[in-house]
Amino acid sequence: MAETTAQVPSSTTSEKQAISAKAMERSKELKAKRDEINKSQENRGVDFNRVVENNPKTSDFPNSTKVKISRELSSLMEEKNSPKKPDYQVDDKAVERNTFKKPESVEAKTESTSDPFFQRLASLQTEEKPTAQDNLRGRIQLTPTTRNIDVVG
Amino acid sequence: MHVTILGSGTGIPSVERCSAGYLLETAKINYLIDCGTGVLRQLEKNRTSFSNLDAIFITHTHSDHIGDLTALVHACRLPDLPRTKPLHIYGPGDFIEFFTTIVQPVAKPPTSFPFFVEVAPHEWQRDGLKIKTCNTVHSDRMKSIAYRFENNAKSVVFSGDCDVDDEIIDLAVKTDLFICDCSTLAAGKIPGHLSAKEVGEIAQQAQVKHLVPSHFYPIEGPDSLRAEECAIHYKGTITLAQDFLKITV
Ligand SMILES: [Zn+2]
Ligand SMILES: [Zn+2]
Repeated sequence: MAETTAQVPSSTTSEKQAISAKAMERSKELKAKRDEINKSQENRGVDFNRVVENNPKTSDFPNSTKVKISRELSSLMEEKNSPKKPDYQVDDKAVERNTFKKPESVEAKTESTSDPFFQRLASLQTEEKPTAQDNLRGRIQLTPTTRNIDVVG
Repeated sequence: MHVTILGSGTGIPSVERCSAGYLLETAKINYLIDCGTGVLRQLEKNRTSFSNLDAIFITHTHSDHIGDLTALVHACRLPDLPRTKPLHIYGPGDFIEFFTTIVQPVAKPPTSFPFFVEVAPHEWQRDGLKIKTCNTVHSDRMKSIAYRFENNAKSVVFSGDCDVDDEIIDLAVKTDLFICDCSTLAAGKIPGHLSAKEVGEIAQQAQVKHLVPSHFYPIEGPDSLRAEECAIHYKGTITLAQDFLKITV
């Protein structure tokens, strides 16, 4: 891994306030709605061994496939006993490549007005209201009527 | 503990990113966290068969987190499946109802080995690991939880899908690895999910040691923009999720 800093400086008071009041407010509304629905549902535990113990063991699979499946399973288990060899190209460099290489000083550069990239980062940090360009870049294309968190999970 | 990202995607079908699924392994156990569409095949590609799982931990019942659960339960009824150890499936408070009404009519639970479906407690121990959960703010139609696994003084937290909330910050406090919903950039914020900006803020506040943003909705531009936005607020190490990425803590 290119960067292995495990040291995270403790958060300052200002950082603790960084999550905007607006976000917390919105979260509270969602939470209240959710809790209202949850009130009616009680936690239960079921041991399905008791529920299904009379079901025939192999009823979901036709008899004709039984021998073939068994053979395939035993070869699968043989593989299990040998050292694991994933069925894809193992990418040893993936973590290193995906680990963010921080600029030497983000703070210093965001103050610079000469670099549009850091200007954009700074604007993301400070602007509560996204710009038209941000909207184009960041928003997925869903029609207003279907732009609902329960549509896509 | 070893974490393999099986699915870093969402409910939007994608060639690059499978729906949500993570494998947590120690020398003793194979745990699956979420079982979205395609995860069963990802497990096989990783040579960690469904038949070797000890427990499955579901964060919530959106299809991108449970899409392959019926397939997995169905496969557990294969004749002569060489398995005797129990399988436990844990989920949020409404999970039993979900299982009996949605999964069970399609896939009968196995009878050849002990099989349990349970609501995840707030805190419990199994296989020498301490497991904690918290409620997350995600959907007004279903319950959703996040999981924290602790083993040998190391910890991994899986946020599931969530929005800004104190509870996820508390669960993630000082964790060695935080795999977190990072659906969009701040500019494309979707209620019930975290934007990269919020992920950065939460990770910093919780003093997380290693942040792995995951659950990527398609965004305009490269995914590296997520890491850049997180890094404005979070000072620790950020590694963007990718299918089959492996991280050891
Ligand atoms: Zn999701
Ligand atoms: Zn969801």
